[in-house]
Amino acid sequence: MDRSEPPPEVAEGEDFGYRLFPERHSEAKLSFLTTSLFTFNHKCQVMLRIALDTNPYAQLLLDAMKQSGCTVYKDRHFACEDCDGCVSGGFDSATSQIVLCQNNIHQQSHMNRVVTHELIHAFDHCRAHVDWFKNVKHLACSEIRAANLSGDCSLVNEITRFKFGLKQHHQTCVRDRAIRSILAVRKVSKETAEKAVDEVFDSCFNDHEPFGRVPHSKSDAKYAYRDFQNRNRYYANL
Amino acid sequence: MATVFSLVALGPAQPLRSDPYFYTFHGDWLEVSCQSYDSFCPIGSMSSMGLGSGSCATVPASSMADGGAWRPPRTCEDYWSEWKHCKGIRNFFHNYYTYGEVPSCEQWKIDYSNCRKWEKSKSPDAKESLCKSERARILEKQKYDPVWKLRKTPPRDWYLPLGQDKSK
Repeated sequence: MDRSEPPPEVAEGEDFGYRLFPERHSEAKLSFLTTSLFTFNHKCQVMLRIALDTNPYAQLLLDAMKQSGCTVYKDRHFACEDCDGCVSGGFDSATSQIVLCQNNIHQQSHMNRVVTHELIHAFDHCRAHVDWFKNVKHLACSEIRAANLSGDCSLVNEITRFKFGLKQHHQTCVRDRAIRSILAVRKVSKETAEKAVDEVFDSCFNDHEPFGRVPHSKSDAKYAYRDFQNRNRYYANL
Repeated sequence: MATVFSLVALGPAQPLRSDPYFYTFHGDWLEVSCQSYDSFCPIGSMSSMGLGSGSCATVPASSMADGGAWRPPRTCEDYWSEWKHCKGIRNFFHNYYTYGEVPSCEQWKIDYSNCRKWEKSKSPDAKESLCKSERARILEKQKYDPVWKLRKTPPRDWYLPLGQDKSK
């Protein structure tokens, strides 16, 4: 992979996906009463707390980020907001915040998956110089990793989307979802998104950090967490 | 990969980051990037030892354990549980769904046997086989060049209060 290529120019009218998160740049703040009565904010906060405390995917990511110098604080690094469209969440690198779409996440399993997905983006932001805004390949790589490692592309999730396939279908799903995510937040053509994904796919699909494997279930995530906690012994005895 | 500046015996006094790109094998020597430490490059401590900033280390690959007392990289129970997990029907399905092929689990069983052999008789062959197997697993993860450059320090604005971020 040639990292010295100049990044492509930013398209005119590019909003980097912020139109999907209207509260990000809105100066007007809803009152506490309005937030409590007319939004799903409280439910989002409760589900988020459960995800952070009990989900092994999230716990491993939080630990790995802490070890990398980016301790995650719920009140600072997470925000529950109303979003446009069908988007479930996003990572805002400008504010180092994970945005959770309280109007689109209604089940704990969905919250677990979105938190994991966005924490992977945050982890990439923490450990690497990711040029989110100007380098589509960097964005593509993080989206591939997030789709691959968060459980987005499990067989059950794909069947609920009426996407059927078995042999190597996971890779097809990861590729498609990465392209979709890029198109949702960048003003690029489908061909550009597909090209970026194809160019970085091998490297990024096989980058399983911090899990060390593709965690297909909570049991896989627990094995990965065990390996993470034992890493001192592992690397000291190679 | 960070350039090696000096031979410094390292113990794992600081918890290590787990990214396989931080470790490179040169025969029997393990090059450790200074990015492997939690607090990133311990520039202060390294310069007090007469080394340049950004210094990392090269150590004999199996000497990093405290006081030179080597143990298998994983516990024998871990090798056993990985083997059982690999052989299971769930993993068979997941591997086929992800890679389109049947998983290969034999190496976990070999590693488990070598681990037990080491525990019983401290066999140097068992130790060598285990190290070789684990290094091969790390090399497998390093097959592709990373797309981006890894950081030496966390993002400067990670902890900035939100008002200051938004005014940027």
